[in-house]
Amino acid sequence: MGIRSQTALKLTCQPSTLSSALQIVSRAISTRTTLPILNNILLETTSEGLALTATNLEIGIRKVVAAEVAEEGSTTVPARLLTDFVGTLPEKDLEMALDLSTQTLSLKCARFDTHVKCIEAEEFPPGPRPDEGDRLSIPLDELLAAIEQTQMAASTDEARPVLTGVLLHIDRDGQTLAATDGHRLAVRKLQARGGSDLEARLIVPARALAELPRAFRGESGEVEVIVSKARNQIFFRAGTSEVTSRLIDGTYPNYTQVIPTKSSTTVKVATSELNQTVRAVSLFARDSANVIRLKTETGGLVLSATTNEVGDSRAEVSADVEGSDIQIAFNARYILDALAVAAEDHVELLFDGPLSPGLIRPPGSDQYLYVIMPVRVAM
Amino acid sequence: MPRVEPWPRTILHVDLDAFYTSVHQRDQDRLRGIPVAVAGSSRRAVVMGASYEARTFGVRSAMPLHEALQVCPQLTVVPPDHARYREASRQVHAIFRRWAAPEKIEAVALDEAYLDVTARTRHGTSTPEEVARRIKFTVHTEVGLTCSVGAAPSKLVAKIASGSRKPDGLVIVPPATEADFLAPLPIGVVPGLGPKTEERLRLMGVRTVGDLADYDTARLLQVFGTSGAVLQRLAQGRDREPVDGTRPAKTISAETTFENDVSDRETLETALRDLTDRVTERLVAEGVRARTIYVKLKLPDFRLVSRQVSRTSPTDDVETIFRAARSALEKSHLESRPVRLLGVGLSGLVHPQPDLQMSLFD
Repeated sequence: MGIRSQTALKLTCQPSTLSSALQIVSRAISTRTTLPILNNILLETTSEGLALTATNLEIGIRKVVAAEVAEEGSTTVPARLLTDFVGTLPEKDLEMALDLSTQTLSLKCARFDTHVKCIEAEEFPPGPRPDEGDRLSIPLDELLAAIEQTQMAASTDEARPVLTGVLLHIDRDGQTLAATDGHRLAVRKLQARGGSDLEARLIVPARALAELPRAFRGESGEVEVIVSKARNQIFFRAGTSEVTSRLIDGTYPNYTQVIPTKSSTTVKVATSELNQTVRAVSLFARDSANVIRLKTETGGLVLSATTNEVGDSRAEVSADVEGSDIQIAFNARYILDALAVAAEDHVELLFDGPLSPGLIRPPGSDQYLYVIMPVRVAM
Repeated sequence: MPRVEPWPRTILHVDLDAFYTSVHQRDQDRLRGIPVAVAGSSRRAVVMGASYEARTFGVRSAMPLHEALQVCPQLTVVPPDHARYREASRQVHAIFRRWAAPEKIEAVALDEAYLDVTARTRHGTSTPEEVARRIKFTVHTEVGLTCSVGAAPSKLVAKIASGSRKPDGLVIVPPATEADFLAPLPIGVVPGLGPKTEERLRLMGVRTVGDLADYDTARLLQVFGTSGAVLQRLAQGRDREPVDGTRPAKTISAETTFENDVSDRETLETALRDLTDRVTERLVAEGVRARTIYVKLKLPDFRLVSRQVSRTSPTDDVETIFRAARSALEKSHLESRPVRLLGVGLSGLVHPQPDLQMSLFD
């Protein structure tokens, strides 16, 4: 018998749980990276099982999967290869063992005997693990709902980096998420549980927040949020899952100032009917501004759109209209974005003339506000 | 009297002969009749344009200047004068507009345009040949430049016709004779047929456009997919592409080759600023806005790196374009490698919408 090779990181886990966790952390792998190690996922044994970490140095995601650990250790494995391979395995025990001297990870599962070349864990960039810093706690379901209702309003225009983020505005009164691309603005107040002394305006990349619902699926309770002392990193933890992100440097525009405070027309309408109508009519809003026109009429709201070479469409939606009649035009996509995340059966539309911002909100509430600038058209 | 069948469409392709050098030769007596090239002054400059006298020595556009001077040591090199080229182009377009509505004039470049003059020939009042001759005559007498014109029922054939007898040529290809006109020409004249496809066609025994037109369609489909059938249709002279003067240019770009490779940030940004000013000036002159701003770098080993930034709303603001170009440069120049050439381009060009999306924070 030869010399027994030195092993470390030895464990058994289930392919399906590992596979779904791999898919989630792989979201942080950048498709175009200058650092080859960032194509790998860091595997580490912990007291809770096997921790998986991936990062593109901007966003990092960490998940822990249940595992029976026989020997502690760590290494890094090519993300794509491991994810694709584990995804094909039958639901039988998967035994992993690392040969330290060759950095080869052996994977044994049912009929499969596989060896993957790895890179030492020391090569992996140390993720920011801000155990120090300002902390607050937000109910998970509340945070995820607020992200869903705001992140689509953030800009994708990298010429203005600040607007590609979502503002997490924390003060004595509570926490608010706000996002805008300069044409529309979404503001969602979080139902705070207990006050915090922390006051901060943190700009979190919308791309990072968009990962939270996926990364925290299956978790419940509170999300622990830690902001690094230098105010350049943010850290979200729910259960054993973690998402870290850099913060965007810059001054966020004063969003409260553009929320309309008065209105001359209030329209209350069923959310799903309006959504379906805008969707249909906007097929005829094909020019680049995507213009759909709204006009109040007795007992309702008339929507219309025209594109020269395509045709035109007009539809009525029953609505409660209060105040003066109005004709106004919007980019249909901005309306659809708001309606897609409206939580109530009805929405209220508030207008103050055809050239002032319109407001969409749940009837009588200011917990969620969606402001849209109109399109100036020849009526 | 035999009745002349009117053409279904009368399309002219007008191509100014050796445009850049002709403008200089027109304005300076000493340049006439001698080999002239337009090129920058850097030692890495390339030839932008060569006079017919220079072409007989083998001087070609895009040739490195030092190479051009080797094949033609008596070559007179003049620096480019973009303002004068634009002015000449503007005068020529003013003449075009006497013969076709603006939406029927499609500019391909400063020195090249398609005109749809069907309205002039439909009722037999003028023949395509008469219109083409009048345009050639007017451009020569009023602007002092010669051009080559192709007249045909399609853009494709008009373009190939104008290129077939340069300079000062006039080639008329009446309907139903397109395939015969194209048949003897080498397959390289078919637009969209790249060198790789050309090579494969040669191996299949296809040398002329006529060979391609008659080739077994099923076999072409097998080898080249749908594009094989598209190429064959073009080879048969079948092209229905309209002349569209409302279509803005696809991209506007400018680039500069550095005298010495540059790696420091400041020099690059200064050059970037200059290039941004140039492309934005052209953007504004065309009355369009750009959605995408890209930066192109050529490294000393001739490798090309390019990165782009796309905006949600199209812009023609020079500062916005500069900021976007700078952020694209940051993305493409991560390792501060030396740079041989820097270029800035604008694409996703659109005519500004009369409908104006208002902004929250202005």
